[in-house]
Amino acid sequence: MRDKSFKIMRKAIFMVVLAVALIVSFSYWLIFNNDQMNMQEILMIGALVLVVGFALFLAFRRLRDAKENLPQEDEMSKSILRKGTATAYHLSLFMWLGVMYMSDKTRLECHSLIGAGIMGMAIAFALGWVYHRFIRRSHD
Amino acid sequence: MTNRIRELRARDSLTQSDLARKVGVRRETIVFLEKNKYNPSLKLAYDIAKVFGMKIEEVFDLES
Repeated sequence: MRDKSFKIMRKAIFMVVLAVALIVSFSYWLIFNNDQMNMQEILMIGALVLVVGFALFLAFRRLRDAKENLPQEDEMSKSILRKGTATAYHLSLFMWLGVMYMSDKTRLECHSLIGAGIMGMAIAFALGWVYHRFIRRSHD
Repeated sequence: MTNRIRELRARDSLTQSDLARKVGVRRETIVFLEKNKYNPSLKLAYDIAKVFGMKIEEVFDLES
């Protein structure tokens, strides 16, 4: 049990370190970037803040549970995760359709569009999880 | 489905964390169970009833 909670804590600490590294490298870029930011960059910043915030939230929950000697997941959390993933999958289908449509209308490079799509999938997952965890009334 | 978890927990002076630890779930699962917002699996229902020394049907009411 002790070994398991050590593993959980290690995983949570890794998530925090990763999130902090992202924030630090991003802040560095923000400070030393002299160009005016365009709309696309502002949107990317917003998306990044959302994803990092979500990762930090999950990491702190895991740390709290590990401290109290409680499991980090159980049948209800797995059910919420499953539903959140299914919602994210549906949202992603429509989002990729949107990305395909946008690819003809914008002058963005292919890798930028794919990057935006991947970020969108991460946000869709976070939104799906938040919806099923906090907004939906029943978790059956 | 309704249940008597909150009442039985108070009877046995157990906190939500204590009960969660005994049946191996997260504390928030107990919170949602007490609010009747989550229907547990048969195994979890059995484990909870066992903690209170009762039968499943004495803790959980399927009718309401």
